[in-house]
Amino acid sequence: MNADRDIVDAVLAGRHGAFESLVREHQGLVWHIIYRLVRDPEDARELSQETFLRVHRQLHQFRGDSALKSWIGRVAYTIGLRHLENRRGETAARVEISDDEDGANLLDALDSGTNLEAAHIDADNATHLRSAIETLPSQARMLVSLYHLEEMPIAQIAAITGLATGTIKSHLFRARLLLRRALETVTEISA
Amino acid sequence: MNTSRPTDDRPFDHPALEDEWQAQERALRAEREHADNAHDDARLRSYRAIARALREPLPDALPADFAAQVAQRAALQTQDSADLMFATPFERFAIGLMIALFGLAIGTAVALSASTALQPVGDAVRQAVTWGSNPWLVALAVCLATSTALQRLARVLSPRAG
Repeated sequence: MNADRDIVDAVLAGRHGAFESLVREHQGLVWHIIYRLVRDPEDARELSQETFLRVHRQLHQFRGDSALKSWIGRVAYTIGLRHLENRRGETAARVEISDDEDGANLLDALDSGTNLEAAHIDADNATHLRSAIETLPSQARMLVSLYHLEEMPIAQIAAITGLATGTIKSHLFRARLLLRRALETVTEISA
Repeated sequence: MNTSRPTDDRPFDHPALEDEWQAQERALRAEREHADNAHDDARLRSYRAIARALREPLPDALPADFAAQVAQRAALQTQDSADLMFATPFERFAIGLMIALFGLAIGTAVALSASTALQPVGDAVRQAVTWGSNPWLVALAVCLATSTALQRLARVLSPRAG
């Protein structure tokens, strides 16, 4: 937290290079959040820039109650979500687990499906998995990215998104179950 | 397999779902630790492949000079804000003067129209201003003229001009 306070104070004092350093430190997180939400690289670049400009404008409001990383992540998440809602004109980003496609049903489908005991997970399947990740709902795609790629604890993801930890777990669970189904479907076809 | 919707306290209240979640988490840990996969069962192998795919870098990235670009834009943003906040003493003085003149004009107009006691003074002012039959027009004209003159003067005297 002291490091957070130091860099914030340096930026607020207008110290040369301080803001650039802050951006460099957190641009990976912002990119992961926004890219996974909006998917389009050009939009993601613009929104990442917008995120840091807003951070710069509002940095005096940072009180240090949470980590700077979470605070910046929340700005990115808000901007990405607003963009999605404006673009789609609906709240698709806030995907809830539907009654007819919840984790239990997905699990049932897998239980009655392929036995992967001898299946070989090869490069083709990895490619297929990458495609399957892209088809996940925006919010789930972002959450698994924060959890797996950023290695962020669920509590910190909750601080960024404002979602309950149980809801985040449900999204993670269901997304990975969907990916498992996608993986086993392609393995079954190729077997 | 009927289960209730997960809650914060009990995200998975069905044993099979909890077991599946634990398998997903084991696979995640195994991938992070690069654990040996010789004894993994099929489910764990699937989830490890998924964890590997999810840990891959994103296909697109920010430009290498992104931080420098954003810092430059932020500096310009600060400069613009500073301009709006009347960065130079002269600009602060000019705006203050305009506000004072505007206040004076409004005060005069109100006094002229509202106070009969000041009628002789009002008459004198009206006579002094040839087209000043309406004091609001006088106030407006004074403010516009002052604003224009001060803006031109500021452009000439400001160190950032040109």
